[in-house]
Amino acid sequence: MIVFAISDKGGTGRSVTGGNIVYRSALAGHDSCFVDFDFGSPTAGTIFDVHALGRGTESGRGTQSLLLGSSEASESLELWTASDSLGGRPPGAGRLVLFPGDKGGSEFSIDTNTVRRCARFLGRLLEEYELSVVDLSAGRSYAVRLVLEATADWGGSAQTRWLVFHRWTRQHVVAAHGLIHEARGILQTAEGCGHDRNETLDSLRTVRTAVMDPATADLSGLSGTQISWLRERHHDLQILAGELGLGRTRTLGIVPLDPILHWHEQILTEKALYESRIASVGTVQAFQELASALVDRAGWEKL
Amino acid sequence: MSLQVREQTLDIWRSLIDFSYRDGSWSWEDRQGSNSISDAEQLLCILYPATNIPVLRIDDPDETAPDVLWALHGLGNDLDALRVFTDVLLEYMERHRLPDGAPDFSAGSYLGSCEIDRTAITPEQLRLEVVDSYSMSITLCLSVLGYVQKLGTKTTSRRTAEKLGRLKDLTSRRLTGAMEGMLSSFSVHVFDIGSEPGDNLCAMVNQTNDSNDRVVGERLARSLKEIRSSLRSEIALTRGRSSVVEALENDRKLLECGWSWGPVQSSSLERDGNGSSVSCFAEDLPYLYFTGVALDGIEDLFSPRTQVLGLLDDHQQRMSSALQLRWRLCMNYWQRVATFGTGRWPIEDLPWRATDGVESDHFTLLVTSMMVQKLHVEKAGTSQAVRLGKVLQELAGRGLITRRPVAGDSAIGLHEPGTRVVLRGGAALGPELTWTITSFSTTLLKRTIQTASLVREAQDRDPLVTLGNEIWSHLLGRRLEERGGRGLWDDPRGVFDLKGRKWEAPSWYHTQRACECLVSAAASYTASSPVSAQLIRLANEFLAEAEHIFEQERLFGSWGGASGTTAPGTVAPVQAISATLDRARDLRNTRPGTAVTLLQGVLKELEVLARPRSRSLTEDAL
Repeated sequence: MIVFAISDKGGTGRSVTGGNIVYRSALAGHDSCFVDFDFGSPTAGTIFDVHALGRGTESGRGTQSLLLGSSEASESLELWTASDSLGGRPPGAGRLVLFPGDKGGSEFSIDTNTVRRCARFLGRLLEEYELSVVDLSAGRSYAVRLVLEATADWGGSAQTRWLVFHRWTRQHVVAAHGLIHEARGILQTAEGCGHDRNETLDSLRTVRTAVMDPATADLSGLSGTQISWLRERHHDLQILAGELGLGRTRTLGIVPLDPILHWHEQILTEKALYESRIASVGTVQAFQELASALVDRAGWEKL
Repeated sequence: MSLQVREQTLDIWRSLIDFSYRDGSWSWEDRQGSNSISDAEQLLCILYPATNIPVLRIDDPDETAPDVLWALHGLGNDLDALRVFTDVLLEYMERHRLPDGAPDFSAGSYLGSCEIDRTAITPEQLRLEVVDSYSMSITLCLSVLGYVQKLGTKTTSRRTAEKLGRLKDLTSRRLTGAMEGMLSSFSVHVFDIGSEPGDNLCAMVNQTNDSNDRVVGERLARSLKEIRSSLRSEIALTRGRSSVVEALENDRKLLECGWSWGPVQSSSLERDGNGSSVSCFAEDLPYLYFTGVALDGIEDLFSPRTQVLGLLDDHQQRMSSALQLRWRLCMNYWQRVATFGTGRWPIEDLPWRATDGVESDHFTLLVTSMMVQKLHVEKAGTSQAVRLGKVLQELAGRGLITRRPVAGDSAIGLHEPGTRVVLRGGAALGPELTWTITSFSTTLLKRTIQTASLVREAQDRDPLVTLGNEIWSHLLGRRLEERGGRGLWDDPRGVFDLKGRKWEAPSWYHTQRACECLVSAAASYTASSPVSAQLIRLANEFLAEAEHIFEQERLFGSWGGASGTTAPGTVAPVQAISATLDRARDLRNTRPGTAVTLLQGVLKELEVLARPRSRSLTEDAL
């Protein structure tokens, strides 16, 4: 299963959520990898706490080098040992691998050769990993077209999925709708590359991030009027999302607003949960559910 | 009325799912087994409130509240619950079909017999269709069609979309069948003034005693002229009813109209146009109970919701018009009879005597119920509602809801074992059949709630609100307490000293009717709150004073310069007071009590500013 992670705007928590999904999936025993296709600003090193990869690899064998043909194989890191905070592979866990981006990379135009290299690379991921999360940059990037063209002749959508990340605000909901449905959006691009529109839509779900749910969040500091107002906005937003085709049935998961992730985009490890106890149970649970819904047919289809 | 609708409804849902959904499969059983009516009632316990109380809707995952979804979590987590519920609805529609695929409306285990031994009822009798089933099916199918329509636009799963498609087909077919059955069960009974039914009716409507029963009967016959001619032209279109049409031509005859217990003998009922015909055995006589049941179901057919959502196809639309006409004629007839004359209304003379001579408070309740329903649909008639409210109060007393029973009080029979009616004509296939009506308390509560919402003046409404609370606590006392059915209905032993066996399993008949009461209560809350004219006057006086002082203080410059602020923490800023006054002005006609409270706060703030000056003024004077 290859999951393409995308968002219309930056700062949606796409990478950090994607990273945590991969981590949870590996913990559950599946060989998993995170692929940094965010060519403009590779950040995966920070999220997984690989000090040397702060802003991408300098080895000249990052994902961009691979696609442009300047490197035969992409660099890959076994994160259980390469990461400064994961602390070794727990028994029973699957592989946890990172394909980093190149430092100082940028968007680039694509030709048949890049598409061919990309298809071969994705094909290899499919063989080697049960779950690969490919982190695409924010907005309508070349990378979207690239992976769509690379997978055009794969037939069906059983092997690839799309996750569109958006924050739980009016602007972000509208933007996410645009990214999916409007001109040069995912559906139109997919169709242009030879994908079936409905199949692409079937393989696409949204993830709401940084959600402050008035029904569950601890709002004890707010006044009654403020809470009442928040409820109304939340309700309005739910209706809007439904009208724009981003409703609950299209939503794979909801990640609550989490101050820890807000200050420091990181993997919420079991250690952070049980030892230092800085991780919120609700957030970890959301990641866990996302990881299992991705591989479980019933979890994906829901309703 | 304090029914705590949201909490109570969700509690019922949780209890019902606890009882019915175990290990991934749905159980249709209740204490009497399972049949097409009780299964529909079981589903309606969830679907009726979900359809009719907007904040409890479950057909739109984006608008379904978390606590509502949580109440269903016994079916599955989060949206899984809706997927499973859809499967259950589909199971109902597939389960109640005849071998040829046509919908099945048999009453099965709800039928009783005059024989001691219920097993004497023959298989042919168990397959008889009953108006209760048509009515429940109409309500259920309309709810399901709306559910399918909304959920269909929201689902992202192809499997779910296919299931919804199939559910829609089966439901629409069932709805057609139910409406056909309802049309075939409509009955008009024409009789002479001097006949036995004539005597009974005349005695009932003659409340002034200044002329004899027959003269009053003739007056009644004359006043039914328009109803009679409408009935005649409508019935003339129906096959096999020529003798009734003929009888209706005689203006000196009396009549009664309504619904019999099933398709009447002279009618012919074919289903689905596939030639399979339904056996029609019911005698052509209206029953008060089945009339009430039919009127309830038909009301849903022409509700605003049904029309807005466009739930009916062309054929159904035509049948709906025919049923609506019968609904109106029937309502007009009963209103004419129940309130005939210039003195006391016949309905105020308890108990009601049916044309066959049988008397019961239950019949009074059924007739009153029709009248309340009519007023409620027409949203009119405060003065009539007050009078009907008094009848309901008396029924609550006589029905031992607001009064204690004396030793061996026969009125307990209204609740347990209930009022029994003979299904005339049903004996053609075996022993004499009976139907037991046990919905006295729930019908009384539903109509009390509706009556209260029609009464405008607080002093007239208050006794009805109190009555509603009393009936509701009576009903709460009748909930089951044993494991399994806990929180569901019905066990009269909770409120009456009765011998015999204790119920452990619930009855969907009762639980569904309790849910209907909750729905009626919710409807009455969502309507704008009744307002007292006196309080509006008071709010206006308060507003005038507050605005006057406010302007005075502004003039004095109590808030300082142009910035309009004063030292923080001393008094409310001018903008705050101004905003509160605006709000009070907006609210004074719809929520005068709230307006007065806001204005009191403002006056208090203004007093802080005004007090020192008034002292200095006094000192100057000295």
